Amino acid sequence: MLTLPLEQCVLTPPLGSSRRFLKFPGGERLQVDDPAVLAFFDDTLRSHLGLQWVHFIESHWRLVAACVAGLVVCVWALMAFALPHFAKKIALATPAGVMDRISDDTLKLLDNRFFALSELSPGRKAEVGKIFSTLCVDFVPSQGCNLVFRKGGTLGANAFALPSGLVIVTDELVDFAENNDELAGVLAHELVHVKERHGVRHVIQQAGVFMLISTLLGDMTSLTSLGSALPMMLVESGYSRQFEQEADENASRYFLEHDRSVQPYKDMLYRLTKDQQLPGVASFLASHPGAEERLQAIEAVERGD
Amino acid sequence: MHIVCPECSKDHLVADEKLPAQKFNAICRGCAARFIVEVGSCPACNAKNQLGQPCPCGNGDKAEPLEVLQIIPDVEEPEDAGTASTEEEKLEVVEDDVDVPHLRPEFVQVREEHPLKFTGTGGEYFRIWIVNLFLTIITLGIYAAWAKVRTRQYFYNHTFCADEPFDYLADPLIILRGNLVIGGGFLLYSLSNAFSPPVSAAIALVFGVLFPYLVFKALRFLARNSAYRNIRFHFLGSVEESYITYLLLPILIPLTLGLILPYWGYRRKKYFFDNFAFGNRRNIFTGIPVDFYKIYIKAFVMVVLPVLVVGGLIAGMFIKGAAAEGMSGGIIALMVVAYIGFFLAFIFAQQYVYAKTTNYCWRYSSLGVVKFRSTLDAGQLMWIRMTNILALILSAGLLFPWTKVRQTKYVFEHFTVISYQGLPDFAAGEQDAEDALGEAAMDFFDFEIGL
Repeated sequence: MLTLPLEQCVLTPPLGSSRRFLKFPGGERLQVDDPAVLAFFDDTLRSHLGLQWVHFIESHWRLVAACVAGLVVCVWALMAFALPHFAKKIALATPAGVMDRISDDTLKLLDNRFFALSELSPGRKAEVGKIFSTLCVDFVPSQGCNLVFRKGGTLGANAFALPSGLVIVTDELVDFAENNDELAGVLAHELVHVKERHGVRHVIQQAGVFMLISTLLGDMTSLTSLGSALPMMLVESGYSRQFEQEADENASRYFLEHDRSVQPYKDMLYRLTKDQQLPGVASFLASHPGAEERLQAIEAVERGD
Repeated sequence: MHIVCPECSKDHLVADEKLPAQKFNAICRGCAARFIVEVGSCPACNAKNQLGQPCPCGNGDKAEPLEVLQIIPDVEEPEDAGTASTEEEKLEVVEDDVDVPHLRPEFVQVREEHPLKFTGTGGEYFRIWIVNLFLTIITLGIYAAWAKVRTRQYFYNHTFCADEPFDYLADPLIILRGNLVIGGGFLLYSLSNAFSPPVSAAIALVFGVLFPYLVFKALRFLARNSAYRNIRFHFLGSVEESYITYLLLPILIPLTLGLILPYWGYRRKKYFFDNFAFGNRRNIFTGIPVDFYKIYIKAFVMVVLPVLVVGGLIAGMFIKGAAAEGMSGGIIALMVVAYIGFFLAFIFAQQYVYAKTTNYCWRYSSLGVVKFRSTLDAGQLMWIRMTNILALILSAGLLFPWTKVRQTKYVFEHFTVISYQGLPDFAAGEQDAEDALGEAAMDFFDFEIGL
């Protein structure tokens, strides 16, 4: 006969309809089935209080339904507010040295994969450079910025903003613009990306969404890998469109504040995007909002909404 | 006991409890010779020793590890076990019955079968699952460790063998620690992936090199925290074997044009099956690579043939379509059909390999006097998988608990534990603490340790 104080024993936490055991310090265990005995031990030992609470939720369908609702709200709040908020904080705190390195690496990568040397005349380059430096002082006075020209190749008429303030413009885009005001529009758009640190924010948000979605679908993805890729694409393209819209709006606001017309920018945008719209591509998967949506948003800024 | 190959004189050390019988066939890993081993005992030190060999009293500890030796069950007339082909024909014929010819007849008379029973339900697991998800999200991932233990415990506790449930004993705090390290590493990777490709490449390389070690740790953690009748399982595999299995062989696959793929499958299964132990009793796995090649070749034929046929048909349609304009709709439809067909064939081949190799490995395993039988059917697995995917899509993932319970129930309820002495009393082995780093990593990267 062995006697030992009850406090040294632990009752395994309740879990669905699983059997429960009283565990003794020596590693032995005793199966306990009688609900009255279990209640007694639960009250006396008070082991695994947190998990008993979890079990209480699990065994009430109403509380489970509340968890479903809570889950939906939490996931939405995380993706729509918390994540963008913290991404912005982190992006603004990112030291300039880090951003310089990121930008250098990215430029090298783009150079290797897509770009060729620019074939623009030095005169034209200087002209565009002048527009750029004026805008640069207005948009990001505290941060230096740089303009580089490249031949876009397969990327065509395009412009890119890298976190350090490096803006890449393709020859095709410069040729595509009918006047310098149109070019200014595009450059302003890119400088908003620089100012708001959209690049860094996007990367942080992407990582956050990946963690979130893999937590949510962790057990399921072994069944369908598409199952996790699709929601991720949805959320990421959502973020990307938000940034594009912000860039459009802030660029338009800048022109209005400086008593310049937004019309050249709108024209440029319209001509650039009208050919890109593929019929049947759902707008919620696109990284940029549709042309009409973008123009409407800019017009809303013009009206002063 | 030391076993010396009569052909090449290679000395193998085999743990006494791993010896399948008084007399058995063995294959030397050094020179692949087959020979018969008879167990005797040393007159000087009383230890078990091979008949006809001098006893190596005193130097028993430092001989080669036992992976070098593979034991095949004895057959009635060992002289006839000669060529590999007759041996394999035998295996094909007795597919549905596990025979243990090396056991003495008096044990065979008390043969008992204990089919596993799984009593979990989709409704009950749904509640556990959704509460787990909710708590994991609002605690920003901290609760994931407890969620994992709770899920495992639910599935283990509802799996019964001879009316006794299995038990999962991991401490959530240890899993939390593993999660934090692996999660942090992954966050670093995905951020550096965008910011600094060289850094992320370095992280990926480090992970690749560490991967076999993490597999080793994961298997140890999983085994050590799995228990039945309050006795824990153990995993006795070595880190070296893990590096051969999970680093060296994968590197060799492209170099050998995929020809060692079945062998790789064999080594992965062997790493698990030859090294797990229940209490102080280690499992003996006697499977051979040739049988894996047979399974893989059958699966390969099943995928490649339909693809060739359908691919040929499409090519034909393309030529016709080019001749007659306006056929593009039909071609697209056909391509979709072909893609789905290929997809289905691929999944079927996958399920086929999974079912056959799993059945095979259990069939050629013995845990002392305990044998196993797994009777998975590729067609039924395929049906369950496809309907599960459909259910997940139609329910936006909400039916996940139901699909998981359904799949588990099928796999477990086609598994039988066969005992020849009643379920024997296993003694618990020694237990030391184990961290959950490997477990967390495997979990994160969706690594499956196939049962």
